[in-house]
Amino acid sequence: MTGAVRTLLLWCPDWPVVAADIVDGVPATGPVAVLHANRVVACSVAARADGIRRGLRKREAQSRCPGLRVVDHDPGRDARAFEPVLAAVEEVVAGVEVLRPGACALPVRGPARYFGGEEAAAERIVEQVAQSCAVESQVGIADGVFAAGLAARTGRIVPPGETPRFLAGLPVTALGRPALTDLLRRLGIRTLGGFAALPGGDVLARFGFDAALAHRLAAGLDHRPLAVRRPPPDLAVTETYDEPLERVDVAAFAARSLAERLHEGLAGYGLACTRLGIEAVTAHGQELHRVWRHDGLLTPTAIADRVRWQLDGWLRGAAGRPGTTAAAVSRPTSGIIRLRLVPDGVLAQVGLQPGLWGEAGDERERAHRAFSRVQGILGPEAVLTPVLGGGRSPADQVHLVPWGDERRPVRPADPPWPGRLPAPAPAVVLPVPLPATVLDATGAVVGVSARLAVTAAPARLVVADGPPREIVGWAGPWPVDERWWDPAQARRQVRFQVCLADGTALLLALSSGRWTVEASYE
Amino acid sequence: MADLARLRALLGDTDPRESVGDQLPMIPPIRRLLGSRVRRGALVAIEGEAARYSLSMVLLAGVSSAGGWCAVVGVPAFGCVAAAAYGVRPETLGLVPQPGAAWTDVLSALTTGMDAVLVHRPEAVPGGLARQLTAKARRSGCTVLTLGPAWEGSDLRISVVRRQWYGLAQGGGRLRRCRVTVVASHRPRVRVDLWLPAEDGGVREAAPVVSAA
Repeated sequence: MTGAVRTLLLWCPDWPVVAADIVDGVPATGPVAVLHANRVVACSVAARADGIRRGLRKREAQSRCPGLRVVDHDPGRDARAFEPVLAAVEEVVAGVEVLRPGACALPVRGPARYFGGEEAAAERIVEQVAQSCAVESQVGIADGVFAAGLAARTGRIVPPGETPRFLAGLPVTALGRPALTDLLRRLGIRTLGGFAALPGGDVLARFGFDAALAHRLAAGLDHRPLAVRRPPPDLAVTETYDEPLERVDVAAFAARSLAERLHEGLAGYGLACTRLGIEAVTAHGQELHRVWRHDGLLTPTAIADRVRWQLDGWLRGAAGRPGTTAAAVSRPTSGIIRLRLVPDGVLAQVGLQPGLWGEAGDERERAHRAFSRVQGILGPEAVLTPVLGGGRSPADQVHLVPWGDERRPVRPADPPWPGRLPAPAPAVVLPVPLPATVLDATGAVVGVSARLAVTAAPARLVVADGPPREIVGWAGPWPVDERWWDPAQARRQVRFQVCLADGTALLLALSSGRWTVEASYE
Repeated sequence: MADLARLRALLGDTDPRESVGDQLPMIPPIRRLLGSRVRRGALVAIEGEAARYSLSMVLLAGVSSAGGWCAVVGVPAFGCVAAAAYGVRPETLGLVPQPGAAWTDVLSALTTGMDAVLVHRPEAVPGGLARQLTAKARRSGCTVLTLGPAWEGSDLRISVVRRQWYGLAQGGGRLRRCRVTVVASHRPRVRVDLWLPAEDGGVREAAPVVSAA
């Protein structure tokens, strides 16, 4: 009915914990929690019984369960440990796609016919994984990958055509998009069924591209039907290496440039891929292939990460549990000499159009090479590019990011910034403010009272140890009391604009009795 | 008729023997100052202390708004907000604030890929080195703007000879705009008055007659 592919999804619960067990030998039977950025991202069954939940802070988790073993989150480790599981699944069925470490999907039609029924196929796969890798797993079968993923949480097999009804009863949190979920809940929409009932066009217009994808998922329409067109064949990128890649860091470096090329190619056609095929050929002629799947749109960094994880898995060898047959199944016997990235599940992406002027093309390429060369000479942090954003001082409004990093302002430009200096902006913004002294006509230092009154009119300015210079015009004080809630970032000062007799205009600041020159209007 | 006169004036200023593609892109008031003979790949010295950053930003803005890529070497105090207001596009601007001892390598790497590079050396650059660096820039069509002492072999030198800020009183108002007079060494009789910056932070041509303000 829906056209979504009947999909079997294999899910290993608490995969980061199991991966830590396999790779680092942290026993998953005890209370274990995997943390990222001081928050729990996964925990073992024993830990969950003690009240550990996702999103808890480290200290709170440890207070709830004193014997908790804490492991750092490592996506590379997760991917590496998952490799033997995939190899085991591939021994019995074909066409496996990795969704993320700990979950993989496959079209169930073939295996169901081969093993005599969907249930039999599911049992066979779970048994295979348990036998060869000693890993527990659950299977869900439904129409489409998204529904199959939810079915796998409860180990259900949703009959064909029943998927929309199955999804309709689930809460909106199942979408895994916290911002959208929160919004929907405030709109009074609590189930996927309710969300699916909204008109698709309105969802796209009001909530954007990602929400429109989520809306299709909620309606039981996997977003793969969106991929109506096949990518032109030249979108795949290949690189051959004279020296076989044997170390992960070297391979990761190679992966990065390849990922960028792939992304640029896709962006040039206004496309984005939801699945990524990674193929490698070793010096001994072994061919390795793996498909990674992603729910959203793959950015260059996301592509590079997946390639790195995959290469990590292949090169460092699948560290299977000792005593299982998976220990060295997919480990190549020599280095990689050819890498190929194949975009799959390609769909048109209007949000990814390259800029109209100069973004793509020869000049960009030339400039990029020049900046990269300078980065090679001085280090990546030496070449910066400004991103303009919000802020009160001229220095705050500019965020300098190393060339090649994502251009994103730290402070949004949109909200009003009361106390922001009006245009024109100073042409000289000193990276380190210069100490100065402002004197009045009698030679006493000018101060500002708590009620923002100047003690006397500024008459002369002494910058560092220089000679006194006459002030012919001044304005201020303009108070700035910023981020008082954060002692490390708090700033309380008053600003002045002064004009000197030689025509120079300066921006001065006075903070705790100390005058500084912040910027010059020249 | 007025349009025709303006068109004539414009044509009279252009040498038909030179292809337009070789010209350094400039904003109109700067073109009036420098004329149409300045090519891409020229070595331009910005002299004097007064408004030299603003002047360099206006020159970069000409290149940048024509779609060119710009780099700024050794100018840690470069005010990016002001530069953007003058018309320098931040997406195609690279800053190398601390090139250190390797500044010659950095400069020669950048001249191969950029359309304009602004470089500041506080000390005088030896003649041989300057020639070597600018020859490379000339070949690849990268205009080099220098701050600090003028380099040997500079094609032209421009400077601000007079400047006056408006808007600030004794204890009130705020800096609103600055009137500057710019001169270029190769056409000493031409003077251009600019609002640098104008009230919105951009650049405008000021009426040549100076009023009492």
